[in-house]
Amino acid sequence: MPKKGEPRYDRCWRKSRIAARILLREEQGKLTARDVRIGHMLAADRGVTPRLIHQAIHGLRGRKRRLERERSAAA
Amino acid sequence: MDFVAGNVDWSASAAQRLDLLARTLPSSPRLDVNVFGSAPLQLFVERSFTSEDIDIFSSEEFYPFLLEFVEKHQWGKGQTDFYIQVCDPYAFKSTFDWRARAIETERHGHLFRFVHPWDVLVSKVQRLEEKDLEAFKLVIAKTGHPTEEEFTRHLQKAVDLYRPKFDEETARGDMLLNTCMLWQTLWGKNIDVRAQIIRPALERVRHDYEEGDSTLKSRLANLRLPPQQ
Repeated sequence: MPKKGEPRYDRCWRKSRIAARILLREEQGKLTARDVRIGHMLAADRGVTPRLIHQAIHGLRGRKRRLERERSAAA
Repeated sequence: MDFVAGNVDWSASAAQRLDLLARTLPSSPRLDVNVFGSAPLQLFVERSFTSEDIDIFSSEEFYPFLLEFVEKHQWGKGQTDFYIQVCDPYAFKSTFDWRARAIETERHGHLFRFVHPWDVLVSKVQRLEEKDLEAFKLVIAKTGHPTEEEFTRHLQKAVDLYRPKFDEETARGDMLLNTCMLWQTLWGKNIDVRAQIIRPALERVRHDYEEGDSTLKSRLANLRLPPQQ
């Protein structure tokens, strides 16, 4: 992890992951006013591209499936 | 016919010249010598398939050294009848993964990497003079391969060679036209280069580079709070 105060160079990716989480929450009908506000900001951000959001959605869904597999294996 | 290091015909004239080069080179630096052009065909397919020169290139780092070394020993172009042409590493253009098929063998402490005959053939399509066509006929006559289907797939790995050339490259032949000519000569039929070579190759690239759903950003821009229940 980069130290606090040091510049980060993965901001586009991190913002795209936030956008992906918001879109997944939208699909579940669980949007908050904060999600809507941040979503609008991210929509105007040039660094947040459909490609990165698409990757992030797959990553988040994949993580969920992995956790489910691990949970059922442990049970 | 297996294109493996054990099958290199070291008694062929090109091989003897390469062996002399390897023996004469100082042990350090250890060189990677890539051999392309007609020499690999002579060494692996038919020893009587001779050529005026042996085309080689090393890594970028040792290019000036090898060039100077060959000239110093009077083996260069215009210095002997059967000469070694030290080419720029940029000169050889073939399939993107030719190195994976190349046949590597150690000779007097140096690595010789012979370009696989099929990759030699791909590089020859760019020029496709009569001699290049003969190379195709030789390889097919002696080995039965590549078949039309095999070479179609092989050319897909060299799809970038079909891109339009820079103005400065007009001396090089037209890959599209040459491929059509090749098909007519070897298999007596036409080929739709775009449909059979270019598009299938580009499709594979597209598959691994997803642009993402372009509606994702408009969905973000149009987010609304769900109605209160």
